[in-house]
Amino acid sequence: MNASLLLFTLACSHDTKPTTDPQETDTNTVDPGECPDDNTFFNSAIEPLIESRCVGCHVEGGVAAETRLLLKQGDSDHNYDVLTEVAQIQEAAGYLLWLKPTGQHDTGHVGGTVLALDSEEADAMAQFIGRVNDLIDDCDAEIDLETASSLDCASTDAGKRLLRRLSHVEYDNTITDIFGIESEWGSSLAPDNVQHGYNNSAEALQVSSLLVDQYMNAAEEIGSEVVGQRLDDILSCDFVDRNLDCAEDFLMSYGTKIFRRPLSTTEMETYLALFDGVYCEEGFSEAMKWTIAALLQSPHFLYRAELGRKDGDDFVLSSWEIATELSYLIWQTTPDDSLLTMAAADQLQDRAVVLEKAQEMLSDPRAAQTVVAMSEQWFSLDLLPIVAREGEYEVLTDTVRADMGMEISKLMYHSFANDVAFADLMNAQHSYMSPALAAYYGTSLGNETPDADGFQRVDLSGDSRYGGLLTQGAMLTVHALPTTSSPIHRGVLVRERFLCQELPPPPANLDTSPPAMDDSMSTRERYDIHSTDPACSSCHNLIDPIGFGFENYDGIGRWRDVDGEHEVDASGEVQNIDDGDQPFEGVFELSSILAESDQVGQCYVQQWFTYGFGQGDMEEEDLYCAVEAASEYYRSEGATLQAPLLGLIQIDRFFQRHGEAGEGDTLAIPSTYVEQNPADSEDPACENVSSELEIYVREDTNWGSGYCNTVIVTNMSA
Amino acid sequence: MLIKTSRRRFLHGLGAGTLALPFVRQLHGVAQADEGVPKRLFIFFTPNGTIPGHIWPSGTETNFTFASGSIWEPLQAYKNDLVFIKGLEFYNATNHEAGMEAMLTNNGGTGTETDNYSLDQVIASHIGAATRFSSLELGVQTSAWGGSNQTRMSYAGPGVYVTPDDNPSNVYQRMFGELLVGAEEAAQRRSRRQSIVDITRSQITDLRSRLGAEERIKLDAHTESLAQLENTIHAVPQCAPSVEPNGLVTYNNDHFPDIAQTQMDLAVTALACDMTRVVSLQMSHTVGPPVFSWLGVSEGHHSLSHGADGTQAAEEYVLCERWFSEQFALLIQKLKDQPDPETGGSLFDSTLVVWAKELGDGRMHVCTDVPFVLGGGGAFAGGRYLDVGHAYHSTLLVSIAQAFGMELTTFGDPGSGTGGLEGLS
Repeated sequence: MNASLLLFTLACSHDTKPTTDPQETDTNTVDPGECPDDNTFFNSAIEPLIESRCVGCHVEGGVAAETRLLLKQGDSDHNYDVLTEVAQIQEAAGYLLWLKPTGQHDTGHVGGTVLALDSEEADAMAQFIGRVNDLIDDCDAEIDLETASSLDCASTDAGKRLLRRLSHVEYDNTITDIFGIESEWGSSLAPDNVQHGYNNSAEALQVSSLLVDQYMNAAEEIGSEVVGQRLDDILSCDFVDRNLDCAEDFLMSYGTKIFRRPLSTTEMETYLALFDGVYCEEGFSEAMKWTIAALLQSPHFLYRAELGRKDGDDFVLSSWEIATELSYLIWQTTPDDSLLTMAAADQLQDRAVVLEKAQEMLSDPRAAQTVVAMSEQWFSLDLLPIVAREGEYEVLTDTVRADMGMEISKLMYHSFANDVAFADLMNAQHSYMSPALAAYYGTSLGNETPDADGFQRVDLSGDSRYGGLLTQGAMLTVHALPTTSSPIHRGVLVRERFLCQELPPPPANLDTSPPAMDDSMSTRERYDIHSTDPACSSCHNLIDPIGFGFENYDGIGRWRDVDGEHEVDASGEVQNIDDGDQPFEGVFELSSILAESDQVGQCYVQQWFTYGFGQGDMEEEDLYCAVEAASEYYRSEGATLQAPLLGLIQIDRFFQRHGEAGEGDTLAIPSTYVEQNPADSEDPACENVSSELEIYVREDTNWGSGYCNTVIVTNMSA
Repeated sequence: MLIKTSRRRFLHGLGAGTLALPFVRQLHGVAQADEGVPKRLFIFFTPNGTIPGHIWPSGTETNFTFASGSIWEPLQAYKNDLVFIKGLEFYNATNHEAGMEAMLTNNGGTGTETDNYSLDQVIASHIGAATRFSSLELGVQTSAWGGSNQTRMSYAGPGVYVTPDDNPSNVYQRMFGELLVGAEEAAQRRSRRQSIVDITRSQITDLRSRLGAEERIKLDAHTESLAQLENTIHAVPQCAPSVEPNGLVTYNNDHFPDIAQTQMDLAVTALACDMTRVVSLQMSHTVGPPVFSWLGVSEGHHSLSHGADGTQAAEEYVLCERWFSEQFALLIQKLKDQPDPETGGSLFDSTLVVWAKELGDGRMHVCTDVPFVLGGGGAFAGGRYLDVGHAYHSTLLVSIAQAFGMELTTFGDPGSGTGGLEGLS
């Protein structure tokens, strides 16, 4: 059983049967003492329980007023309605109304455990949940919630049909790979929405009025730049006179790259008409520029289609769509010629072929670039250049920041390229440093040969201070405060990004003023209030004891034995991991615990799933099951860094989709264009042109001291 | 002088609107300088609530004073232009994120009177159709954490954020790019751009027909954005470009004040040139981390907002909040210094300015006693400190929409009641 699926069998005791008013018993045909109806059961067994356990906080104005459980003291009708509704909320790990009060929910329960497992009250709550969800009938007084509520993952496979707008990173990579020019247009677009920690969410990426404006300008600038720099390389023909054949060739080759499938007849005619219209007014270069600008604003460029062709109840993705999925998943860019060729031959319907191709792609350096980009968001490293550091921390110069960023990029890159085990990344006994960075850490640089960036592999096997992913300077610095370390930020990092448990914000109406800065107390002591005040402790016990383990590192990644005047105490505890609590001493031990945890392993797969598929809401059953399936593969492949990606491309959702069809043609690939303008056909002259002469100069040869040009002068008014 | 939209493009816009968004494109006529009806709206936002002991004035509605060193004291010179409101609370919303969501929307999903559009977008739907940009959203370091319910305040539907532009150079290009090329080239470019919009729109329509309802939402938003782009393409700016911003690094903490100044200048210029009539300037975001190093402060703004009264953190927080007041004062002065292009009065006389916040007491994470300041535009008499006791802030949103001549009775979730804010008019 996987670790995060916390389902429980109840030891039900029979003496919890509610007693009812004997006067009512007479009027019922079935003895309600044995088989009380839901209302009777609620009033006798549940209402007294919630009045004593829940209404203290779950009422208007109470600490838990913001939750979905908003009760009214003494109003059993209202409470029945609310509880009935909440009892139906089911998360992957089980029923919310069961997990929360029994203290088993991933994100804790602010009020702590209010119903002890095996208690009569807990049994009653389980029965109530069973009744509401029709898992038991009125006469059942026992329920096995695990059996009754476990997910049947075998029945859920295909994902939703999707249109996925290119992320800004994908946009830049795509432009660069199609046209061979450096692109920073994507990175300057308006920042995208972030969901589950990533900015490539399938749902959240839309085209706003600001973005549509920016796309327009980017497309025009790219068009100009391609025409200015790359025209000879991207054209397979000489453009002579009004030769539409040349434009047609361009659209057939580059149109296919841009749309990630061949253009349809209609599309071809549309772009040829645009090209020709501009050509007749402004000539060839402008015509090319505006044609490219138009292609780059098309929905067929901006959105990756994962729509498929209707096949029975499901939709089957085309080879073009699968080539696109593979390419953006593993390389974050548009399919290359080899993938397009396989798609054109429809070879990607064969899962064995896809697997083999994916393995080949993973061995390419572009795959290791993907993990660098992914981990930047996984650990919020994009904030490294901009987090404010003040006072004594101003020694964290821009150079140090840049070096720290480079260090963790190189660690991720090489670890992924070598496909090391996830555990070996967590416990890595080496890093990559510049001389300046090694001096900053006070670490011996060793004598390996520096790479092109001046960074060298540093052996940390004898180092008692640094080692493993969590001790990377970038990681420690981003998760800290302007003038101090932060056990909270570091604890939350581990909880949310390594254990995949999203934590709720602190409740309102709670005075969250931290104790003032006080030199007489260590950072750890200042945060101790969280464990003594019960309003704080139920959540902060999940967070702070992890963060305390990092106290040997200050807010800018430097090792320290003392925090101010206080000797550092780096003992900590990870609560609620793999069904238990694990104490530890310092980050090395913490790293080992996380490295060995099934829960953390599955979380690593989930991070890739969220990043790769743009969907991360694990309360959705089909997503949860897909991660489960990919995790199986991950484990069987030795839990290496690349294994999640191989898992993702072997589950059904990579090939099939379900969802609503539109009333239009469901074919993902429109009927393709057949070449209309053979090279020798005659094109008619332009009509109604505004300029009289069009001059086109083409450089044929250039030997430095001289050149030969072809000059074409067309009399447009003829 | 406005550039008229062609009949054809007008119909495009209308078509898209009725398709996707029942509310936003009602295209009411623009109110023509009616007495007391503001022509423009400026939303100003600063984050992380306030500290109750250091903001509220003492005295009566019309005779009140700001304590020395208090947060609103820098607005002393403009006291008679402004209404200071205490006692507003958000309906069914509390805490950072919920406050940010509710601040300009009062929540309420599709089917409510405002369909979860934010105040700026509601007003833009009413008066924005005639200008080049139906609204402009400018930000100061709002997006380093990406877009989320923490970092966005402007909405065009449930969960649909209107993204602010944090980069002054981008804003400048968007405003004046048209003037940076020759007139003939610009005209030709407009026609090319229109052709491409037409191609894109027809491809979207075709693609849309192949999708189920869920995925159509994306394409509907795209179509709506294209309609706005058409407006932008065809309306030529009517004034000379201002000075081009340079040397600003969008997310450099120390550039915060300069970026704020530049964005404010661009926003005022956009109003003065009638490029738009609805502008928002969003400084950072809820839980925002800016460190006011230019004031000698070394902790982040959100951390300081949790400082208990009497601590150094609270003192520094008040300093930061006073700096925001100074920025608001500066904005008012800039609007006063600009002539209204039509009436000859000042821009401030025709622009309703609203300083909105997402929380009351920042330490307690509550959305009660959320401070709002408004002024300008001739709609509400200034020189007042209004303690409304406990009133839902949706009534203020209704009052503002009504001031612009809209016939709304509720704003967002109707559960917070109908009608405007009592005592405001």
